[in-house]
Parts: sequence; structure tokens; C-alpha cells
Amino acid sequence: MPEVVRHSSTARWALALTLLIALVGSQVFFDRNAPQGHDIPLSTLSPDVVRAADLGLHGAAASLLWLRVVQNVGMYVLQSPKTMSSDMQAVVELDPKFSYPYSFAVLMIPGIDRSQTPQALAIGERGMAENLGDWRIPYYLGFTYHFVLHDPKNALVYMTQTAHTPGVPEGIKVSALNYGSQTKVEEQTREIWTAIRDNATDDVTRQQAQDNLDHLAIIDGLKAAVAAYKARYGTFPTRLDALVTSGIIPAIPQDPFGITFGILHDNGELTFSLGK
Amino acid sequence: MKHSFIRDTLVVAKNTFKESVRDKVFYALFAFAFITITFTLFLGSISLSEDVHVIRSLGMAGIYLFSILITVFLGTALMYKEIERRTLYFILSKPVTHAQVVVGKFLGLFASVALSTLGMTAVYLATVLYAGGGFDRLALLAVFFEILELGLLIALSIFFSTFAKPLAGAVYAILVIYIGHSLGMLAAVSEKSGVLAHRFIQVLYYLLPNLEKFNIRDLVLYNQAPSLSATLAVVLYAAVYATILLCGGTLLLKRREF
Repeated sequence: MPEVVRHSSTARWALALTLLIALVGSQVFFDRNAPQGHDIPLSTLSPDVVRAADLGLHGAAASLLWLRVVQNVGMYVLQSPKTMSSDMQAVVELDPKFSYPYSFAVLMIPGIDRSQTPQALAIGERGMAENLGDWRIPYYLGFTYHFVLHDPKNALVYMTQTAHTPGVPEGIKVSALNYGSQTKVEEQTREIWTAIRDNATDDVTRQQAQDNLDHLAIIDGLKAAVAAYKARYGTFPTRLDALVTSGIIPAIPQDPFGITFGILHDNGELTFSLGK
Repeated sequence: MKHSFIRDTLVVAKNTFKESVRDKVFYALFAFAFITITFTLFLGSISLSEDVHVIRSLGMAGIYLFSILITVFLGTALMYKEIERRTLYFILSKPVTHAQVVVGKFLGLFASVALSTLGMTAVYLATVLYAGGGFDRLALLAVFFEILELGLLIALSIFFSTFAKPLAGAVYAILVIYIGHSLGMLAAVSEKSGVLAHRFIQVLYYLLPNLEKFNIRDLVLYNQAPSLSATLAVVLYAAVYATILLCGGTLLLKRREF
């Protein structure tokens, strides 16, 4: 009769512990050696393919894609700004009645990549055609025409539509009706960004509006400082640092979009460049 | 003791119901469904203030997908298990007809699947309520349509289980579900094809179950409901299709040699 090998309880525990350590160790080893930068890029699936494969759950597929887009706004900025418009297009293709993606696309895409403004406008205009009754779509379209395309005529058309959208918040309605009343474009822009910030329903849009307001405030501050320098020394500074060394401002402010400011010595106009 | 068709069928249905609600797969899938539906609360929280929309769309999708899984897993094994275990001999030795067995199995499984779907719906309604979306009464209409679809799929699974092994039956059922949701798209594509292909797809369009008829989830998501006539047409369609499949299943069962 063969002898039955019996393992002690300690041996079993030791074996279990060893296997557990090996499991965690292999995971750690894999993570440390995993190839970097091989994430699946966004925009890999066309809406037609998703629509054919989602068992009629188009709304759920659109929600999942929407979650993916809003969680990757930073990645679009850093890696693939051009794909944001096609991903947003896919969301609205899958669920044409989902209103927020239209306005989000109109507001965010030009801010991430100006060259994609026509695509952003096309998404917004499709949202208008769907007649969803969301004031954000015409308001953000009007703002994009005003701020990005410097087209007050079209901006006014959408601002008027915003003011007549049922349920529009009072602050937005006033801002839309006032469109064109400000003589300075900057003042008009500031007024719209303020209304967007005050009526935003999510943190990303609110932060986008606040960053733009901060950006405008920094420009105004620097322009005022340059004018003060000219008044004091009779000439424009050769470098912006001169505003600090002369004690007019304590430091060159940090722009929320990472823009570095410069100055033209001849006329004191500010110059803008990305990065140092 | 006198035997009536309905009473004997209900006895089979009752036993099938008990058997299916005791199945571990049933509870495992229900637990996953519970986790998935409540997980939509987290997904809603990262959706840029579109919480209720995301919870509703993904929640209704979760109910549908898990109900389909429960139906396919339990339905495709139902008749096959009876045949393999030879318990069908025992049942048929009683004064019970093949039709009573098939209809009884259908009713029993339909009751358990409907119960699990309603259970998931209760979790869903509580989740939407908790997220601030109020009582989503239109979701109940979407679930009603879904239960009709599940009835058709149960009949289909029983039909397959009279001649196919559970795995093969599950594959067939999943294929039919997939095609059933793509028929409208296939019909649209076929209009651009040749006459022969167009006619062939038209035949498939009318013969295969058009499961998109039961899909009102995207409509309900925007607080819209189908008309009463459309609803009645869908109820009739489900009843006729399920009857055809159950008759087919009964015929196939009769032709099997035991």
C-alpha cells in the first residue's frame, strides 16, 4: 500500500504565502518592464462599427465614449489634439440627443487645437439642428465665432438664439442680449467668459473659463505696467524683466496656459509664445 | 385525478422555476449585475455633471446584458439537461405531453428571468433615485419591452436546446441576438446591393427575430415613450414569434428518439 504523504498545516501556509508573493512579484515585475507609450489611441473605432456591434445599446456606448473623452482631456492637449473632434463626433453620432457633448466640443476643441475649429462648429451646428433646447450650444457657438473667428455677425446670430432658448439662466440671457454693446472686444470676451464660469455645470468648463479670465487679467496688468514704465522713463522697456527691476510689478505673472510674454521695444506691444 | 393541460403545464413551470432559481449561475450573474449597476454611480461622478444620464444609459444597458446572459445560460441548457439526465423519460411517462413540457419549461424560465430582471430594475431605480434622477418610471416601460424580448429569447434558447448541446445552443442564441439587433442596418445596406442580395436579406429581415423592436432604451433616456399601437404590435410580435419557436421545439422534441 503506497504511503500517503501528509503535509503539515505550516507547510500549506508557507506554500500559500510563497505563491502569493510570487503572484504580486510577477505583477510588479511586469509593470516595471511593461512597454511604455503603447496605449490604444483614441479614435480607433468608427461610430458605424460601434453601432453595428453594441446590440442596440447606442446610448450606453455614447456614454462610455463620453467618459473616455472627458477623462482624457489632458491627453488630447499633450498627445493628440486632432483626435478630440473625431471622438466627440463619434459620441454625437451614437447618441444624437445627448446635448452636452455638442456644447462641450464647441467650447473645448478650439481651445485645444485652433485648426479644429471648423469641426467643432460643425458639431455645434448639428446640435442646433437636433433642436435639443440646450442654451449652451448656441451660446458657445456664438462665443467661438466671437473669440476664435472674430466674426461678430455670426456671433450675434447665435447670441440672439441663446437669449430666446427656454430655460436659459438669467446671467447668460443678459450676456447674450448685451452682445455687441461693449465697444472693446476684450470687455465683451471677459463678460462672456464670466457668464460661462458662473453658469458652468462642471469643473472642467468652469476652470477653462477661469483660466481665460486669468489670462485676460494678466494681459491687462502687463499692459498697464508697460504704460506706467513709459510714463516714468519716457521709453518702452526692452525686456519685460525691466518692469520687475523697476519695481512696477513684483514678478512676471504665470499664465495658466503656459504662455510666455515678451515685448516689442519699438511700440510696447506684448508678444506671446508657448513655453520658455 | 383529472388532468388539465393548463394545470399540468403549470406543474412543469413551477418545477422549472424552482430549478432555475436554485442555479448558481443565476445568483452569480445577479450579483455581477448588482455590482455593475451600482458601479454606474462612480461612472456618473466622473462624467462632468452628466451623472443621471450616464447612470440611466449604462444602468439600463447593464440590466439588458445580464438578463440576456441569464437567459442564454439557463435556457440553452434547460431541455438538454433533462434529455442527458434521462429525467425527460420520467416526465413523459406521466400523462404529460411534449407540448406541456416545452410550454411549462418556457413559463418557468420566463418567470425566473422576469423576476431577476425586475430585481435588477429595483436596484437600478434605487441607484437613479440616489443620484438625484427621481423615480425613473419610463424605465419600467423599457424593462417591459425587454421582458418581451427575453420571452422571445427564452423560446429561442429552448428551441435550440432541443437539438444542440448547451455550448452550441448558447453560440447560436448569441448569434441570433447579434443578427437580430443588426437587421435594420443589414436591410439598409442591402438596398445598395444587387437585386438578389437585396431579396435574400429581405427574406432574412422578415424571418429572423427583429430584436430592435424591443429596444426603446434610447427613447426612454430622453423621456419619450412609444405609442400604444406600436406597443401592442411589439407584444403581438413577441407572442407570435415565441409561439412559433415553442411549436418548433415541441416538434423537434417529439422527433427525438429516447
